[in-house]
Amino acid sequence: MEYLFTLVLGALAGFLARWYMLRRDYRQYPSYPQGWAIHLFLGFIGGLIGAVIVPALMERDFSAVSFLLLAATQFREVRNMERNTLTAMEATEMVGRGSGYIEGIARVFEARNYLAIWVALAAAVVSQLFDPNRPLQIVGGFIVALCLAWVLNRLMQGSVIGEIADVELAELGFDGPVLQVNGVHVMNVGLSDARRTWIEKGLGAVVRPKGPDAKATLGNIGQMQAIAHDVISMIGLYMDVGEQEFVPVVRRERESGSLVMAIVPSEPDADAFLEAIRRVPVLEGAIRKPLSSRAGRMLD
Amino acid sequence: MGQSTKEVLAIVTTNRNKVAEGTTVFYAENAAELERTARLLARVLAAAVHDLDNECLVLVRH
Repeated sequence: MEYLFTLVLGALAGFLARWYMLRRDYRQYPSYPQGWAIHLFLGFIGGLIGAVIVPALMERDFSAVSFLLLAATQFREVRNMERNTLTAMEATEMVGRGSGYIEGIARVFEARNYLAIWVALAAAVVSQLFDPNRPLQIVGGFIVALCLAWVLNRLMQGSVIGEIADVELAELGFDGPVLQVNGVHVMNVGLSDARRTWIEKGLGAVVRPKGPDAKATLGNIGQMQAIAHDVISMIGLYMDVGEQEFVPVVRRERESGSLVMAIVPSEPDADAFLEAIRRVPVLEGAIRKPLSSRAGRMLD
Repeated sequence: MGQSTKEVLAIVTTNRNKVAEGTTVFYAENAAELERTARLLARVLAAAVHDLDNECLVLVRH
């Protein structure tokens, strides 16, 4: 019973850290409230594991510690769970997330549980150091947990497209049946009234990478699909089920490595469109750094 | 994008000499009928209409 206070404090810190890391934004993922219930509970388990390491070590019960580490590997299942859910939902999306984006999301959810374990462990260690001074245990534990959760959360935040590329409006036009953005062949639109809709309501943008690293990152197909998916989830789409001619497209300009995007949004607001592209997260799995290699620097 | 499986579902044309047997072909009398048939088929098949610029419209599932 002498470790009960530390245990509860640590588990609570881990749980609160997981809660702090759950964010609700335009993506509405994890969904509320069921998705939240799942992740908060997993965060609580993670917190408990992190907190229980301290008493186990102090009692020199090393077999307990190895069992706890074994339990921690169960969080790998979180990634599978997220991947399966999102892949199953892919068919219900007008524009799919793409496997690159799904993997990114699944990885984030797995990682956040490990962060909750770290926070719980830190809070438990501090609490045990100040034992049996209860007020100091609570205050110290929570200050450390708060700082660690904030720092870890900051470190885990990736960049957005607006940080690695310049996004500008671009001209939409047709060369015969071929839709073009900035002269780049984007899509073949066969019906004349669909072509008229593109000209009247469509918007085009060009995403110019700020360097060779950004250029390589933007060239990832998963990243291109993520841009299409995220932009329409922010500004909406002028399209019905089965209307393939209004599917938003992202293509790559061979010469410069820039991306071009064409979309018929539900509201033709150019500023909102450009802002939406800038806000799209850069996928962790898409990031390439050719400049870190000798061959890559020779090309630059 | 990427892992799509594309499939030609039908071809609508005003020029009988442009298409061979073995494909589902719909003939149209004139350009207006060509567009109309292609549009109706596209809705039924949930397909995209692409213009080959040789009097043929091809319906493709993406």
